[in-house]
Amino acid sequence: MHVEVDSLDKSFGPTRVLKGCSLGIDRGEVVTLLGPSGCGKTTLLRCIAGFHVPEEGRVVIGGRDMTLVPPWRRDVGMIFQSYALFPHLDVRRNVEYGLSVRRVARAERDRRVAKAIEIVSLGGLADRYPSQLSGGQQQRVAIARVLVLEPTVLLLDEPFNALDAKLRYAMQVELRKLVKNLGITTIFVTHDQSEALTLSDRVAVMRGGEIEQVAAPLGVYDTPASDYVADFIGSANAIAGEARAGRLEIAPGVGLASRVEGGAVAIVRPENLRVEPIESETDDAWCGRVGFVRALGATVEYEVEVPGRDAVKVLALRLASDDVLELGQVVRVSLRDPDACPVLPAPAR
Amino acid sequence: MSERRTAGARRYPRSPAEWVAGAILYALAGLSLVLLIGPSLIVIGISFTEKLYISFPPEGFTLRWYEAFLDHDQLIDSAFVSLRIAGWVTVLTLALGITSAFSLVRGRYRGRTALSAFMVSPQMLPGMVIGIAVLFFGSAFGFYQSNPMVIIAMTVFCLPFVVRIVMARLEVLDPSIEEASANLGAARTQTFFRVTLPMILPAALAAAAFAFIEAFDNLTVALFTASPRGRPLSVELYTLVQFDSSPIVAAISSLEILLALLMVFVIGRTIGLEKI
Repeated sequence: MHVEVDSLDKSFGPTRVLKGCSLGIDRGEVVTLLGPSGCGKTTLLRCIAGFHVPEEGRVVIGGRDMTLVPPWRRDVGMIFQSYALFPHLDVRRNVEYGLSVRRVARAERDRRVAKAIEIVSLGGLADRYPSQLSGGQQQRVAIARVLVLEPTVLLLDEPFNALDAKLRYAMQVELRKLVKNLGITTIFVTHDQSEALTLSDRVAVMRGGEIEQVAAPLGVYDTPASDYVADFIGSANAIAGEARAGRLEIAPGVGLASRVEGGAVAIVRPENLRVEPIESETDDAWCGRVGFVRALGATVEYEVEVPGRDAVKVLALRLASDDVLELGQVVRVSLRDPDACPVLPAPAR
Repeated sequence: MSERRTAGARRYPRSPAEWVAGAILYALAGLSLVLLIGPSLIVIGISFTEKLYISFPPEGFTLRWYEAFLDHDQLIDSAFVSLRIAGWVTVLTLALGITSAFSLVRGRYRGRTALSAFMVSPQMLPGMVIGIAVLFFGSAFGFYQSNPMVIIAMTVFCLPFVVRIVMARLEVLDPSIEEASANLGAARTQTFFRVTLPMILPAALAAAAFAFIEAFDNLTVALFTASPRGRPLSVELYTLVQFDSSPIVAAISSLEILLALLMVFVIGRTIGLEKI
């Protein structure tokens, strides 16, 4: 079902949490609302679910204006961060809840509950109570409880926060496959960029109650709309300077083609940089000293302190036979691909 | 977690100051225990005495005071009056307590905090004050001392207890559980009866059980609101001890202690005492 959010405004007391948020989500699409805490992403999701009524703007689901429709008449499934299972009901009756509220006939109810429990592979646990389940199992119950109603829109509010890293990744993959197979329009809220990239067809990056950029995962990564987006998705060196005659010099002898004139900022991804040890620093090249080393196994992250400039983050792939640079080592920094560095107008501060 | 302390468990050595502090703590705890349980034990002891008046230590062993109670029609009648009053008070405090607590915790209106303080205030007042207040208020409307008046006064007296416990329970409920219910298609009333009520009911029932015990044996409230005929047990006993120091009072008190213990036992087994 197509979901359209049209210039939503929502305030809590004096705080304006959403400032004219607009977003269209296509039928069957998986979209992530990504941003730091306080950016309004959860508020936006709750407006779609119907838990908040925006002061301005409209929420349109499947062509129907739902702005003033209460949550229980929206047919929009939601998975809560805390899972919000009913502690006094066992798994079967948790899953059955929506059907029983709707007074669906017994036989059909049993059939649909059995199917939903099977989809999330909770077969043997139907008689358990939520307190007897692990975090991952509880989440499966929460998913089954919503899927049993065959919603056309699914909302998820930071659903993986409470899971440990391995399980989180497995559940992300599983959920992505599930919603894609069922063709459910899905909106995720997360502050975890890797989660956003794993799950979504498109990512909407939010900032201070507004949507800063909406694009495919690699789109927001490769061509960020602002240094804020670049910094939020992955890691980035935002190198500011003055662009002249179509060129921005980001270090001595290192220039980038720029369509911006005047104040500009270059987004240089750490993996686009290379470091090589040299004897001593020179003024006419991009060099510095290794100030920090994070050896992560498959990769090594360096922070190179460049005199008179910002420190530079460098990401190197590593094999066991490779040497890891020492702290304090003098290195030369160079770009692998100058064309892969977007140059943006300097943000107004 | 699985480690259990065994007889020979090793501990940090204690300094003399810690040892003294520990000893004082144990002594204070022991003293409190004696002060709390002692009177009950003495009453139970006296109830079996063969003497004809209340005295301690008891002499001999007899069940005649219990028999005397069972044969005493007036006392038995008043016990049933008390049971009826306590039953009504339990039902009323439950109904009023749950709805008030729900409104005070979930409502969004002006003066909610003030109202909440007001609702719990009867607990700060002596029962006597409430008894007199209800009596005067009732008389102004031509409503006089009677069992319904006892029930009303006692409900006012016991309500804060239920309200407070249900409020405490509601405050720690994850609000997203009720949101989940709405999300799954349940309108407000459905959510209340299917989700909220079942989750707060254990706490509310436990609180109501204590309201029952209080309403059953409270004297100060009943003294001013009960009618001279068909009086509750507490008032009947109060009158009795003024003229008679027969150990029958001790026998009845022992039965009340038993009732309270029974109640606590049942709550502990079904709902869990930690809910209080």
